[in-house]
Amino acid sequence: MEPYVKVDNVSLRFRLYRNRHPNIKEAVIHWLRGKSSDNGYQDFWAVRDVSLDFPAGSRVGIIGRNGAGKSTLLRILSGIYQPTIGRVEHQGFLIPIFTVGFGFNGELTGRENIIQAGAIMGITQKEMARRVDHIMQFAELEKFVDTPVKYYSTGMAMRLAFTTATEVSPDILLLDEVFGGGDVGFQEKALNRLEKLIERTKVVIMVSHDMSIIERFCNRAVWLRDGQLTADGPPGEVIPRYLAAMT
Amino acid sequence: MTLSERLRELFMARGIVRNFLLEDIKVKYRRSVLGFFWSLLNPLLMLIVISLAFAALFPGTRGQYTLHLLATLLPWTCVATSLEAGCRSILASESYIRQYRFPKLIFPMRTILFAFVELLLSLIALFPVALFLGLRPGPELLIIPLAIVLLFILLVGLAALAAVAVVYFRDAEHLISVFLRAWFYLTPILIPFEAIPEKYKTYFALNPMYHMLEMFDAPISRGVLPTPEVMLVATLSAVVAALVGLAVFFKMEDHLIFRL
Repeated sequence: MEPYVKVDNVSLRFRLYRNRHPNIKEAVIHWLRGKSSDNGYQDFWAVRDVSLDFPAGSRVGIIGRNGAGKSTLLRILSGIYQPTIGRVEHQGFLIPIFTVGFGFNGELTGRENIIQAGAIMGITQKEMARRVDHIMQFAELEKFVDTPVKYYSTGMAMRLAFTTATEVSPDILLLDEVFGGGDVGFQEKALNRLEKLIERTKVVIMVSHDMSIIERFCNRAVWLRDGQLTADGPPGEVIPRYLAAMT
Repeated sequence: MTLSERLRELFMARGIVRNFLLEDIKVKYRRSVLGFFWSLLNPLLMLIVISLAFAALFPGTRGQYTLHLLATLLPWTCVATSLEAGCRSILASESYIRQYRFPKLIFPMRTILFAFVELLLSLIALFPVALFLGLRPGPELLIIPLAIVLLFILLVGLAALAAVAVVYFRDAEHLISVFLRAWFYLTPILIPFEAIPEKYKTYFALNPMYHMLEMFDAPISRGVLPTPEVMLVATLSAVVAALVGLAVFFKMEDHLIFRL
């Protein structure tokens, strides 16, 4: 079956509590004083009534201003957030790449961290172990395969994180502003690697503020404003409208 | 999500749990060859100190008392570390939870499994000590694996509950450690059940942890099987804790990320 992602009438409500982290002590004191504790909140709909179909072959760039719900939508697609209303559905092996450089364990070596990251993405240990050398070579870290990651420089750790995340081809790739990182030489190399990965992947959905990236990689642009779908079409049409509305 | 979908997702994530567990073991024991022996030294020294201080107060020989301590203190240590680390487990895994979709039970599971690895290792390593203290191995020791499984089921439920509580009320963590200390003194560990005055015994027997630890204590320190009543109560409390804990956890699971 061809991979796809389907968003059906999705809305997501964030509840912003005045008291974000209540504690038992306060609750008890309030209760003793005969007052109810401060449970006040404000509702905020980060995504509203969005329906989208991403069939195989989609290269989608989600654009919009800060706080328009782009990243939130991506996190709904990946299953990190359950939508308040509506449903999302996907078919195929999905990898989200959000903030490169998460959760390396400094005590573990590069090799061990690669295998660990693989397990988290849903890739078997055997498969990942086979790819370690390839990853380390691309990240220019061959000499540090068995060095604990805490001895890596920031740049080294970022190269490792990026390379590991982009090593395995999924059916569906979700990308959130992951085009930076590393020195200039590596950035170009990384962009090429990403381009190849995107070419191999059936469904790609990315968020970026950089319109040139969207134009380079995408065949479709989705414009979100205040969590609502404003335009959906070829980047050549949607981006100029978006840029015009910005000014 | 239905229950079967959640359980299926958990089953699919077993590779992640295994990797987390290996990671924890590596990080803890890699530092030195003596790593494991250092972590054994702690219960061993506890045993020695407490038995020196308390043994004279109780009937039976010092060996018997120390054997009782060994049989109850090691599983209790597992309870305490499971719940102390387990209640923080969701908060501590925030960076993972924000990055990928996980069945979130794997995080408390990871901490409990690690506590059980330590329990198993220390039970095995202290076996010679137990022999020296007068343990006569017999078929009743075969109940220990069942005791371990029941303890695990109990702790999954309790840790799941505690982890959710701490996400919603950050100070629940302190309450849990106070509660654990009280629970320790209310469980016949320092004072064997037989040494408790007759009129209080019924109250102490209401504590499910007494039955749970008795599953270890009876075969190890008295060379007998736990009574059917003890086994029944231990099983029931494990099942009830797991059912309640998992029901609450699964109900809250999808909301946790909004409270991190």
